[in-house]
Amino acid sequence: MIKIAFIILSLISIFSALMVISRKNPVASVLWLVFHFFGIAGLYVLLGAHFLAAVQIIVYAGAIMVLFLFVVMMLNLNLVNNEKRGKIIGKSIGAVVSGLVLVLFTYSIRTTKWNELFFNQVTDQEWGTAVKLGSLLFSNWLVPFQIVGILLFAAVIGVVALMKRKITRKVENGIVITQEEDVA
Amino acid sequence: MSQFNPLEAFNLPIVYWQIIWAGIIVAFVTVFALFAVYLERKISAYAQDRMGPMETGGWQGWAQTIADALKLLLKEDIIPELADRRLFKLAPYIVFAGSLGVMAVIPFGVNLIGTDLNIGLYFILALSSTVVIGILMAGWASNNKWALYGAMRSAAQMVSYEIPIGLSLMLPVLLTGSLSMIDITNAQKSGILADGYFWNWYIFRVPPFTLIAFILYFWASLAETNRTPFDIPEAESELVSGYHTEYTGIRFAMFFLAEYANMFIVAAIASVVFLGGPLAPAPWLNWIPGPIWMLLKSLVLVFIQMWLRWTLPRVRVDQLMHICWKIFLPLALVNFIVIATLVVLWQK
Amino acid sequence: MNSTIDILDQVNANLPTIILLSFALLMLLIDLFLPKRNHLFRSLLAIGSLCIVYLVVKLLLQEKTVYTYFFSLDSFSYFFHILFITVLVFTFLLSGPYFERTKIKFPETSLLLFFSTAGAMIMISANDLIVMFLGLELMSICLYVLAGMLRKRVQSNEGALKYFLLGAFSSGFLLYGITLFYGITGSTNYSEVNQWISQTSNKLSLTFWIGAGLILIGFFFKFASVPFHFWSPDAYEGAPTPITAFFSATPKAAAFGTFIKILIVAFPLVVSDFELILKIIAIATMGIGNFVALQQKSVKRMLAYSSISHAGYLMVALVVKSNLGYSSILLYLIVYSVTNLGAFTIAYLVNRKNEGSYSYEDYNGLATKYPVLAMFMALFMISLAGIPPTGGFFVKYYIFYSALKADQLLLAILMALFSAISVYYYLKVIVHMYMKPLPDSYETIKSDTHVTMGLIFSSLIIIIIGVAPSFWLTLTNRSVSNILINP
Repeated sequence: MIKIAFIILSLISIFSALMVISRKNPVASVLWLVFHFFGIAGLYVLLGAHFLAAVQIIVYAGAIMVLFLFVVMMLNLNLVNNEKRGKIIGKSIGAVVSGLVLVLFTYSIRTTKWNELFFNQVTDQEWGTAVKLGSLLFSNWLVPFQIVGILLFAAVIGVVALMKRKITRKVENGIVITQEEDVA
Repeated sequence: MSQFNPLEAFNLPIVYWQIIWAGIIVAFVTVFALFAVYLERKISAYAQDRMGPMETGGWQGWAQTIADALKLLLKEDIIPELADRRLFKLAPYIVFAGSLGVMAVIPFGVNLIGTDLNIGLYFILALSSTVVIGILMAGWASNNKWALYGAMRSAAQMVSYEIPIGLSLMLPVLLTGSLSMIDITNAQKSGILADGYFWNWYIFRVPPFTLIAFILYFWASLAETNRTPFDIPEAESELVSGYHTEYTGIRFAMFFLAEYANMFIVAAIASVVFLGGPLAPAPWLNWIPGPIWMLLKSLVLVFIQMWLRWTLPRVRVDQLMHICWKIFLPLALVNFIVIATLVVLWQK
Repeated sequence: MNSTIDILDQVNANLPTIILLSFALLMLLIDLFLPKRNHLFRSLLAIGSLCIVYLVVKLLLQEKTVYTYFFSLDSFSYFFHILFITVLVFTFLLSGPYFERTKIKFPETSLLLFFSTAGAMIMISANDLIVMFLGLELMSICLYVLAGMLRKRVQSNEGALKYFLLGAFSSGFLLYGITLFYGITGSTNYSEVNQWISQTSNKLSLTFWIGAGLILIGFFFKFASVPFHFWSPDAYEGAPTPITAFFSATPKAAAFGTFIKILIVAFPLVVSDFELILKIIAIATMGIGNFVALQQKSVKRMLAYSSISHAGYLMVALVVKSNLGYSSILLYLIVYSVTNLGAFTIAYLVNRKNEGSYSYEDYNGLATKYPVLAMFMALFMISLAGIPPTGGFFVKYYIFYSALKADQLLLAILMALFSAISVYYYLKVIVHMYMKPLPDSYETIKSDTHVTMGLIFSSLIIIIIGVAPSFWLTLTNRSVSNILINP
């Protein structure tokens, strides 16, 4: 049962990931990416990480992808995409290299003896719940967790720093003139 | 408490009951939508001092919405020529699925629930956040200015209002210490003074704060469901009807259904999380079964939504964002911090 | 890691970072009440708070060492904390006229500089790959924004975007490597990884090497070493010049410091297996950095490529993998950071046209008009070229010496050869300053006392290290040899 679910979910994830990179229309790519995230969230559920799955959907599918869609729709990138993309030699070299990397990674992942700690954790049914995760984040990982907070704060300040500008509107002869200037 | 399973007698696993329950939910949502549309018409008529539907079916025009639904089902399904056909077709299902999926974790009785996830409330937030994608899809695929504007507005509005909603819903979670909807319901059985009375409900539990949270949630959820006073995504005076301008027939019906399902869902969440859900207001009313209390509370809230719609004017886009980011969000944050502090102090 | 970790210990181990961050936040608050465009007061405030942090680190904490699961506060992290704070002080001292000129938002810029310094400090004191990664991201995200601070310049946007995309890409490599490591070793902690390696040292699986390789690639991006250097010249050119100076100092020092710490604490048993790849990349970095720098027409780009070649010299010392090599890297980082800060400052002072070409011709006859400024620039160039009696000579000499001592004859010879080549483009600046005639129309150079002070301090540091290098080497050697390894 779980094996079937795993196969279906991984096929969804892989297929939609392939669709993301192969679509010409950026809006379609973004929507496939949403499907991909749902597939990943499903895999998290199979691992027992329910909370992480919900976070995956709420943050990525629900918030970030919506912003992506927003930007892509506003920029209306379809027109740019009609150009010829890349040369056949470059493409084939890329395909060969990434194919080799894929083979290498698959081989190494198949043959590795993974740490036993992994399997113990997955058998513990409770390990992915909000309670377990929360108590870990607020005890041992408290300081790293706060660092993440600082990181996000820095990102917010960065966005404001890049985007802050003063827009002045004045009406001259019935025409609205808007002026933009950087604010120090 | 184990989940209610009437098929236990036949030695069938709970999955079968869950499938049946899903069917019941779909049927319920459809019937509810028909009923709610009728109710809305009557309420709007009352608010505007007219009669509303009176002819179809005889008494008070009770069959009007059924006739309308049949008409929608039989109408031609038009897809605009320049639309992105696949996305155009897909969008209503995503919106509807997002709304309906939430129903899986809403308890109708103390143990009558689709599935009691340990992340119940978070699951609701996660699923309802994906509805936006369906709406954006619909707006973009229609290849129509009004639809795109409506979708953009809707996305901006829903993403913004998710934050105060999430923060206010976290208050009961803090007080319960669990995200499971069943745990949240049960935690409202007892608390202060005598057990089983309405003052144990979270809305009255920590006097001003939880009440504020409830009001914040209710107001913000109006924006989340795109209803007046926050219905600018489908403001008919500017945008015809927003993201579903180009939709006809059954696909339009899906959007319509999703909208009314959403109304019920936000009311149901509010009643479970703040108003005790299936719990009776007093022990001597326990003979009335939980699902009836649940429906009653939700319907009262649905009624309030309609009442607001027909009495309040629509806000402007900038006012909408102002209300969210400068009033709701700070209030919700302060609320959250106060309750978190209280819970920590209380535990010590 | 099933036992609980004392949070107070963790806080103690991060005390310098926390103090720095609190000052940054305090500045953000004070900023509300300051009039706009008062750069002087703001930078004085920043310098003042940095001095307080420095004093706290130096006087109150110096003898204290804390080791926790995630962080450690030892002589090694003290060294880098003080280096980062010094670099930041210099950045504030030296950037005044630039901010006056370009109208860059100063409050945000200074805050981002503080945050990225805090990120670098976290990186250095981390004992865990995940925490190290958090510090790295905190540092990098601020840097991406800083690189694009001149929003209206196309080069700035281009550089920032390249930096951001490639940086995010390299973070992906790093993170994937960390994930694979976690999968095999069951931990991301440096010492636990080391323990695991010591238990299974004979039969390390392919996945281990892939993970290690991915982590290496992530670091090579941050070093800007050769196959992964494409972002650096554009980011350096596009960024506001004082920020470029900061780029060439703090992130590079943080990346090298963290890498040294990982080599010493996590990979001491397998470090010799990295030798070949480090060697190849070091040679390529030195070669390409120097040869491309030769052809540059802009001083700023020349300095950018020269910083790539310096990363190559530093990697030679990594190949040596002895304490002498590591401590000479630390000393090299001091000299190199201070010198670069000074050189970039003079570059922007001389280039009076607002973010113009930075051509060599701007330096024509500088010595006749501004002899002191020309002297400073000559000193910095000499130091970068590695000519005695500056600090730049001795740090290069130490790396050369350590390479010889470790029988890396090829590397030592190539390093000497490439340094000799580099003399050409450094001396070109001096030639333009002292031997070319002054052009007819000459705009005056606007400077202020801060900058003068900063330049004096930086040249003093270079000369002092040049005069008494062995004293400084013992100092850095103590820092390296006293890294806390799971006491």
